[in-house]
Amino acid sequence: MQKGAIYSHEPSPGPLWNKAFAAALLVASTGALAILLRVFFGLGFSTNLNDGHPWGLWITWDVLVGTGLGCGGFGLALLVYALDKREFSFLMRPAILTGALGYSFAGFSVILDLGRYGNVYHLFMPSHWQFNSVLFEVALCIMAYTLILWIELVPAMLERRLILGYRIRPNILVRWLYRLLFVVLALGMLLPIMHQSSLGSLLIIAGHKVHPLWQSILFPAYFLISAILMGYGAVVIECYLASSLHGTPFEVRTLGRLSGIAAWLSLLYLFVRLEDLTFRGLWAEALKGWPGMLFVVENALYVAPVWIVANKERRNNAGWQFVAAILFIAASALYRFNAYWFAYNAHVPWRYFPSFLEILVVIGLIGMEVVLYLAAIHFFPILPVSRPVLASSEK
Amino acid sequence: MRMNRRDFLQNLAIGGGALSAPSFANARQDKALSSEALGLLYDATKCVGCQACVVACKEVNAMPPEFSDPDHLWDAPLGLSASTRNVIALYKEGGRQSFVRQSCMHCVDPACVSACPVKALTKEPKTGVVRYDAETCIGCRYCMVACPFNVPKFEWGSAYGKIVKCQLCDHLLAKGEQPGCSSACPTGAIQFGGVQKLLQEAHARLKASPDAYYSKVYGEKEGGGTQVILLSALPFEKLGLPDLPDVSSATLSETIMHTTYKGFGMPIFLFALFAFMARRNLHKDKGKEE
Repeated sequence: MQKGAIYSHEPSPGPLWNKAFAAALLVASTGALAILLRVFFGLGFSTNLNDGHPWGLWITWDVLVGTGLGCGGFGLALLVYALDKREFSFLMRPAILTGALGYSFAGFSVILDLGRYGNVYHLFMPSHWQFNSVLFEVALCIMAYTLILWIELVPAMLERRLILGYRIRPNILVRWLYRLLFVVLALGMLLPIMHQSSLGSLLIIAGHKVHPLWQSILFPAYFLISAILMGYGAVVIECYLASSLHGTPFEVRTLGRLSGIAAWLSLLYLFVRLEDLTFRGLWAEALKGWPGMLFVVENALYVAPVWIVANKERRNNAGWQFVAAILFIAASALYRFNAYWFAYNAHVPWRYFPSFLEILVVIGLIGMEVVLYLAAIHFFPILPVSRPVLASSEK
Repeated sequence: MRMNRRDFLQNLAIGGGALSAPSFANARQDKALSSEALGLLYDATKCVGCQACVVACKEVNAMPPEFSDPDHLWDAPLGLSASTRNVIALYKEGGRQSFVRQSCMHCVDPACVSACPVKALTKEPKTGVVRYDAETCIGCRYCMVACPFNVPKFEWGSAYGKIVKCQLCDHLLAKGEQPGCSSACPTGAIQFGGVQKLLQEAHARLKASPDAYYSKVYGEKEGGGTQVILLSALPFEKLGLPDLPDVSSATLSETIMHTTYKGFGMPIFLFALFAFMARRNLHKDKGKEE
């Protein structure tokens, strides 16, 4: 069946305006109100951030998890364009769309989180560039990659010849885009390697404030692998969405292979992580107290999907694949939450739990992403559709 | 086994060295103290906890009062905050007690300066004062994450807040005066001067009365050294000062950054590799279609 299928991308069927879209729109507008409150009344009013926890939910969820889930396009690009694994190419488009939205909203969330957002243009002024700052590198690199993601979506948009009544004709700009597509794709592989690893390096300077179980010189490696795993997880879930919307079969074999690759990456991650602990003699610490428990749960979440995928029957079963995808995402998300929040302790009498408004903004941003995602898959050929070719018509 | 932070960081460095030995070839050197560096010597054994330094600091820096009593009668800050750049805390243990002063330590190799993405935090090359410029700051608060002493504080109450921290009264230094805290101190517990001289003075006091002091000058080496140094009768960890390694966390962070991105070699190499492979594989596609 695998060989006897034709893949294409098609706009999602049915009307855009349905219950799901309306619900997302409602959530998005509630979030917009919460955002206004933050803008007018400031961070102290709208968040529970404090002098002991200067970074909170918006950074951990929107930036660390949001961009991680958006790394599907990056992870697949490595397989498809660097390693020439063509079988995965039909998964690219939805992953790029998720990436473009995830990264754009991460950027938006950072602007909300900035205390002095009016000065954000300083990041573009060479006189202010600070090359010793990990955050400077992360900021510029994430902005550049967000742009690359939207450029990578242009071919999909151009397939639809009519956009809002305007006829799109491939002009000289578009021809150049196709000619230079390999440059865009190469940047699309390089930039995430740079900033996803640097999201880990960001914490090195915090030194003793990050619990020893997490504070490691190997932060960059862990963050890079966790980003790819979250990306692959998101791809599997999106595939589910595509096949249920189009009523087409779920691509179990291809996704089984993708889950297999994710499992190998997880094993590599676990090996390095545990070896790192052994080397630093932290095993006694690992099983102690609240941080020890978080550590055990986090790593159990990495082991569980490997166990699922290790068995061939489970690997090629849609339900198990879905569970494994969720676990890959949960493990990496918890790792990032632990490093930035749960295991971050400035040794001051300040505790942090997000405020209602902080949570509302996060949910609102998810609503906005869903609205834009549904609109994008409605108007443009993004979601993959596989049409099985009958044995008789093969040949 | 309980490890202290120094052991941990040493192990970290050893582990890192073994795992990525070549990347440490270009390890960034720790920054050295400027010969003209200015700072403060705080001697906890001389401090009577009168908070005159807190009042003076607020006065010369035009800082608002901070109430901790229900009737809002006394300016009584409980710790550093966006309204308080300098505070005296009390540590009590059994029959012993000690005051301790909290403020910006004006590190020799400040993590906040290394962390700031837009140069809002800078270290004055001569005096070594760590300055903050609100006009430059984007409010990312990475300095707060980076500072080992949790000194930079954010104005959470404002809709467009800024970072607040001690600037060693550089506006007074420019006029040839000394900082508000040291000039107000009635017992000489806070002494202003050149850091080299203050270090000599601190060691002289340790030598003269070894029984009166815990035998360490805090800040001589901690975190790569600080320009605000402390003497105390009690161990400094008890007074809430972190037990830091002798190098700044900025050293490790910058070493990793600059070895990875040295001459942009690695990114350029990866880009070339990816571009080559993507181009080849895209061409294959074309061949198939035609």
